[in-house]
Amino acid sequence: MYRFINSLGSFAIESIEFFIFMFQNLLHILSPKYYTKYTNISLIKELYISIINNLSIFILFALIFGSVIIVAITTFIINFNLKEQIGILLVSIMIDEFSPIFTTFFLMLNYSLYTHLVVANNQKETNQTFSRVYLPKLIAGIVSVVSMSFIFATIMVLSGFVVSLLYLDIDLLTYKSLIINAIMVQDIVILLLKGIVFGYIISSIPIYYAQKSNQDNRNKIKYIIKTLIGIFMSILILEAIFYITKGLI
Amino acid sequence: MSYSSMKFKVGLFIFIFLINIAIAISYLLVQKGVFDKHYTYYFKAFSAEPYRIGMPIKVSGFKIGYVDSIKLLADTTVQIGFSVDESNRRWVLKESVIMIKKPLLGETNILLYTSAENPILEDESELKVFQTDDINDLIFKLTPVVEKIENIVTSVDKITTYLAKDDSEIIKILKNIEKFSDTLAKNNSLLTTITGDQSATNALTKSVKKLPAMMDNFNSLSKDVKDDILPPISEFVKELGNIAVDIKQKLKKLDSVVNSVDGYKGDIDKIKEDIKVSIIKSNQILDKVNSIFIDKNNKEVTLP
Repeated sequence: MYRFINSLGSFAIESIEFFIFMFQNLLHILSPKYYTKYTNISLIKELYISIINNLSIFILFALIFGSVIIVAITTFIINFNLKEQIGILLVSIMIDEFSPIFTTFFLMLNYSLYTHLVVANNQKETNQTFSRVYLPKLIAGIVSVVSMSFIFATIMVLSGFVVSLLYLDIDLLTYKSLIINAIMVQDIVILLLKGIVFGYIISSIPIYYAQKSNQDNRNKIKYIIKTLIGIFMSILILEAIFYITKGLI
Repeated sequence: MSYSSMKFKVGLFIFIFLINIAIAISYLLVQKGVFDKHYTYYFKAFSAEPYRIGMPIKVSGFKIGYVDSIKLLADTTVQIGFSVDESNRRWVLKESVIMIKKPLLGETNILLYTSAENPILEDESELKVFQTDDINDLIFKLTPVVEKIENIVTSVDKITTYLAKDDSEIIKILKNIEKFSDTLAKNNSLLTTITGDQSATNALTKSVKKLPAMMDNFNSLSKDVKDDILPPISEFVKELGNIAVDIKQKLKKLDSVVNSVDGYKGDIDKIKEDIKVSIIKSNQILDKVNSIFIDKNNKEVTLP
């Protein structure tokens, strides 16, 4: 019982620390004084590592998984006779839900681990660390998730046309009008918001646990796992919050 | 990789990405008519409950505009504003009316009825509104049916109440059936149950038992008839046939005699006429002779 209460207390303190860290980083991103010449140089490097390095493999994954998902949705549409609702279903699943989540998980296994290892190996914490290391990574995380989500959504919409043509005999003009009628401005806003929030999560959580790892040199692997679980749980919780908020709006 | 090359690639990606996003969003907004000029029209309602911002306005099933404002006015009525773009403005004409249709299930429909001959209605104008309520229409139509159902239920209730009484026909019938089935269960045969007399059943049983012997007797009797009676009868029938042929020949002869008699008929009639005339003349002579005997003065007799 004592151990349980003790672990509960440490979890509460850790959570508060985590939220304070997240809030502080957010304020730092919005503050112009942290943007230096070195920040821009590092940002270019981070963008190259997060986006350009992974772009070809990401497009390949998007084509494969996107097509699979589109086939699954189309089969669902045929089975439940929802041909008239195809536009709304494709937009809500492709743009609102699947694109940001797939991009986030892709970058979580790629860029988040890289960020964690870089920060964990950077032993010296100076006044310039945030400007030179953390800030470029946070911004690169946000930009990469936003831009790659849009790319993924575009690939899925194009795959949707091919699959609709083959399975449902829907021509290009009909498909275009279905998608345009179904897409609302709020869908793009949601995609943008999710990209920003998820991008911030995939870059800030690795930094947080990497700093913890620096303080505790014995369990490096434990903090890597915590990073992955933390990102995964945060994405699920935020997805639920987004879903509820969208329903309320 | 050099920093300048890295910078170029990142810059190129960001540039292409932003250009694409800008084009895609612009195309989407243009296609959705966001930049088109909109014209606003109003209609009034007693309640804002069935309306919401973004509800479509339809003409012949096509969406031409959307509700974009709902306001409560000072006189507690609700002002509903809807806007249409330039291409759909031609449907909103003078004398156009709004029909609010509340279906039994689902969302309220706002329909615009218009006459093509009228001029286009000015911006910010108010339209007349009519309301059809499917639920009320349905209740109105169903009221007589419900009344009939009530009557039927009342009648059924009366019938069942009557049938449930001890002295009702159905109870009596049921009791009789019960008695009948009891009696049927007690007796050996249905006939005893019907007649209530065991001796009738016994007599019928005896009769049925005698029936095979009677059938045998009948068979033997018919055999005797075949042997003794049928040959004389057949000979008699043959003789009868001969007699009939003879009678037929004689009748033919009689027919010729009758025909010859018919040929003398004219002569007989003439003779009869002559005799009749002779008799009349004789009678006249006799009359005159009589008159001579009676009249002693006249001694002369004039002959015919």
